[in-house]
Amino acid sequence: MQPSYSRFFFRLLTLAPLLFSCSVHAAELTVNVTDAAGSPLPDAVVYAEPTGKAPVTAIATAAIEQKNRQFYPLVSVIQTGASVTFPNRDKVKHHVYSFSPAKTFELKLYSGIPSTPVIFDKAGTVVLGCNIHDQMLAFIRVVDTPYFALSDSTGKATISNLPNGPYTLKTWHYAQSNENTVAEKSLTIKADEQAAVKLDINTSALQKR
Amino acid sequence: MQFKSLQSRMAVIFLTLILAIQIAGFLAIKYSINKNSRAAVNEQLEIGERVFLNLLKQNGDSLSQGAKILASDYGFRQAIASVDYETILSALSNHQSRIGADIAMFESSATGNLTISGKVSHLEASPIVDKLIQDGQQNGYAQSFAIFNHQPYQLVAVPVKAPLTIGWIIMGFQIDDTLAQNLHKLSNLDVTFISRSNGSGWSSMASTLSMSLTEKLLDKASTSRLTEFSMGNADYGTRYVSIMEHGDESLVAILQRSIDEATAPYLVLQRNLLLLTILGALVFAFVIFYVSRRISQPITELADTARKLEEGNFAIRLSSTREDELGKLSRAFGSMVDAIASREQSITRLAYWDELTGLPNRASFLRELGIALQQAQDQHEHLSVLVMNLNHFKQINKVLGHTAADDLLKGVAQRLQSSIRQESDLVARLGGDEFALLLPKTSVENAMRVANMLLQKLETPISIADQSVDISMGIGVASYPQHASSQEKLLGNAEMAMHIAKAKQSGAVLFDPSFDISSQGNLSLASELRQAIAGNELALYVQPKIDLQSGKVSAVEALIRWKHPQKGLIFPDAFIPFAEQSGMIQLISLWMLAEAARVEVAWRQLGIEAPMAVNLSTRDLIDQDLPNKILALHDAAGLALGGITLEITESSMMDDPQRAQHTLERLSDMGLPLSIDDFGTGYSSLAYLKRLPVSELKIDKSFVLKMEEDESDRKIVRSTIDLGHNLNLKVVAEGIESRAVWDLLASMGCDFGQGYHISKPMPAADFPAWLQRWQEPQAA
Repeated sequence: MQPSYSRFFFRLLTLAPLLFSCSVHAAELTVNVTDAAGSPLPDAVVYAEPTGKAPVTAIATAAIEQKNRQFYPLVSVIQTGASVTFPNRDKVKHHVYSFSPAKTFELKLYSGIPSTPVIFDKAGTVVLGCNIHDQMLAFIRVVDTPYFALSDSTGKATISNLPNGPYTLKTWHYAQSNENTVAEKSLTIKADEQAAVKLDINTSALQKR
Repeated sequence: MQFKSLQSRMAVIFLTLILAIQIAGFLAIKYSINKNSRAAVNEQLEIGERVFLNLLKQNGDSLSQGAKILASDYGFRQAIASVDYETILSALSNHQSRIGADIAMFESSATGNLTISGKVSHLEASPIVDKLIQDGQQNGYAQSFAIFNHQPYQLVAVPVKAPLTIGWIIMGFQIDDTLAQNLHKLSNLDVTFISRSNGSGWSSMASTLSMSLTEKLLDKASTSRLTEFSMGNADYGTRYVSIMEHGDESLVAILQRSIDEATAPYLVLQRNLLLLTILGALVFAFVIFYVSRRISQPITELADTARKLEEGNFAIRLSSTREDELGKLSRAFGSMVDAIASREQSITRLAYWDELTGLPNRASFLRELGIALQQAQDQHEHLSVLVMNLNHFKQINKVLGHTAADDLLKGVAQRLQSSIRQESDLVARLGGDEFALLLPKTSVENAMRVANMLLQKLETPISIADQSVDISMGIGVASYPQHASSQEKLLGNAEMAMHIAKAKQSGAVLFDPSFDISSQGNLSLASELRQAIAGNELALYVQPKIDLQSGKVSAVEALIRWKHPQKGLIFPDAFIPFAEQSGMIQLISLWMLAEAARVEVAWRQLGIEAPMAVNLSTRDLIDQDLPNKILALHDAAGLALGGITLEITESSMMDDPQRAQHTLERLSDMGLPLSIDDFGTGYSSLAYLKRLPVSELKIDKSFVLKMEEDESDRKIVRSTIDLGHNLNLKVVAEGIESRAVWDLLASMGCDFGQGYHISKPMPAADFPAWLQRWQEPQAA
């Protein structure tokens, strides 16, 4: 795992107690994501949508860097309405675009950090590309809940500060045949919970970096 | 095949050989060219196939490049993202025309919508596009061929990524004449594309061939896959490259190469080779002709030389400077010519010259006679031939020996040679003791003169080995044109005359047609003589023989006369020589003997005691049966032996003394008294005479006639009488013509005599009367 990646993780995790400090009964949901073969599946977006009531809005920002003609991280998950910056760490310019219906945009050839971040105001999947570097690829899963996590290399994703209550646990992975296919699971949080999700994905379909 | 000459045979054999080799070579090269050009065509076709496949791949690559460029076009992707199909279509057609594609299509991954720019329907395109995309998903790119509306296309499919695949661009080139021409430019092959689809037959959409050839090709290709066949007067090597084959759709590229075109450069080579071959054959023919001529010419020359040699021309010089076998042959031939020439010279000498005397021989004489005769005929001149034969040569030979006889012949030859009058006269030795003399331009009279001159010259004895030998010869003379007109006949006539001369001992005798028993006159003489013998025309005459001392008739000599019905009385000189020559003498002798016997018997009956002496000829003496015949005659006539005595001339015995002696001995043993006639003219030796069983000698009348005047004759007669008496023989003198001679002979002691003084010969029938009248004279 890249340092920046863990740092981003760390930032999310450290942010959570601040956001949900009011909640008395908060639990932690750990989800183990595996592929069709049962192997741990990294980069799976796991998010829990509370059943019935509107979720709590917790706006946050995110950044997707371009370094060595790659997007970092490969997969980002953000809450609807969050803004994302695309800092260019390379010496060459990049032309970041998305034709995804969830968010169509382009950042024409630029260096450094664009002045205005891109706000993702619609849930769904956004596939990022660079117009001049065909090999650059990144995914942003825009979700309507603040409770989300990314599975690590062991396939484990942990959603913290999850208030008790019924949820729909959704799991999305970029390598699924349809970019909007989501695995859903209902569960009720009373205490710390463990869940396992198995996705019909072959390891061969994973992006290799 | 028959060849007249070695030259043409050599030329034809070698030319045939070289032509065969050249033709074989030419055919082998032709075969090889054919094979090689076909192999080259095959190789070209193979290369062509690779080039073609490569071209297709390049086409595909450029197509996919174009498609990729479109796929990565941001605007295009934006249009896709916006699901703006109008824009998508216009972008497709824009790009299609930009890269020169015939079809451009886009299928959206999200919606499965297919946008088409080009002459193809959705219905046709969908399944093919789906399959292409399916292939492309595995490789990220796909190539294929398809037939739309019976028209083949090369298709490529590339994904549109944003950055994930959002759709596929499919671009297609029509496979048409342009591709075929490109391939033709690259590979120099003719290219024809044929295809079939949806169960329809094969059809051709593109070709570098003309329409008509394409049609033909289509005919052939749809039925079989021959790798070589003819189209429009040309052979094509053909290769089929299957581009696409699925289901009932096929696309085949037919690559072709004209074998004639491939062979064309070889054909130039072949033509040059043919020219070289012809040129070589011509040069070779010339060389062969020259060489064979060089070989055969000397042979031809030798053959010509041999022909000249055959004609007897030895004046040939063969000079060859050649060092080879022909030169050796020529030189060998030359020395052979010299050897033959010298041999012929000696043969000629032997053939035409008498070795002993150095005179020309019979053949040479005949040749010269022929020439002279021809000349005489041409010039209307006379010509005479003398044939000479030595008298008694056999005896000389016997007495003196062969060497001396040879010397004698040489001497005679010399004498004859020295006696001739002029250069043109030719002396030759005909053989044995016979010589001939050719006298050109000489009449009968002159020839006789020459003959007598020769006889005179030969009277001088010839000395051999310190001995003097008397010689005499019989000479026969015959002349042209009187006696014959051919050389053989002339010589033969002269020989005949010579025989007569010898028989009559009369020196030179001129030929008379009567000598020739084969002449017309003599043939009739022969038949007349035969008639005379049979028809009793011959008559027996007798001449009394008296005892010179007592004058009593002691015996008679039988003589013959011919009472010819027309010619009257003929003396024996006229027919006896002919009878001797023709052999009729034996008949005459027998007639004489028989007649003598008959007459003698008649006389005995009259009381006349006069034994009759009958002359025998040479031929009679040779007849071994003569004694028996005589015996038989006596028996037939009833005459006792002793009634007939026999007279033999000295010369008649000399022809075959041994046989004559044998016959005489037998006759003597039988009791027939024998006497030697004409004694003194022959050459019988006394030794021989001594051995003969004779009882009587008759001195030749030539001695007796002149003995009154000639002292030497008288001496000869006297000594002959003495000799006879000494040998115990009675002596008879012939030719007594006077009483004085009678007396002389009687005084010399001669026993008997006969002659005109006593009586001429008379017919036998007259004898008894004459005897009555005969008065014996008083003894001298």
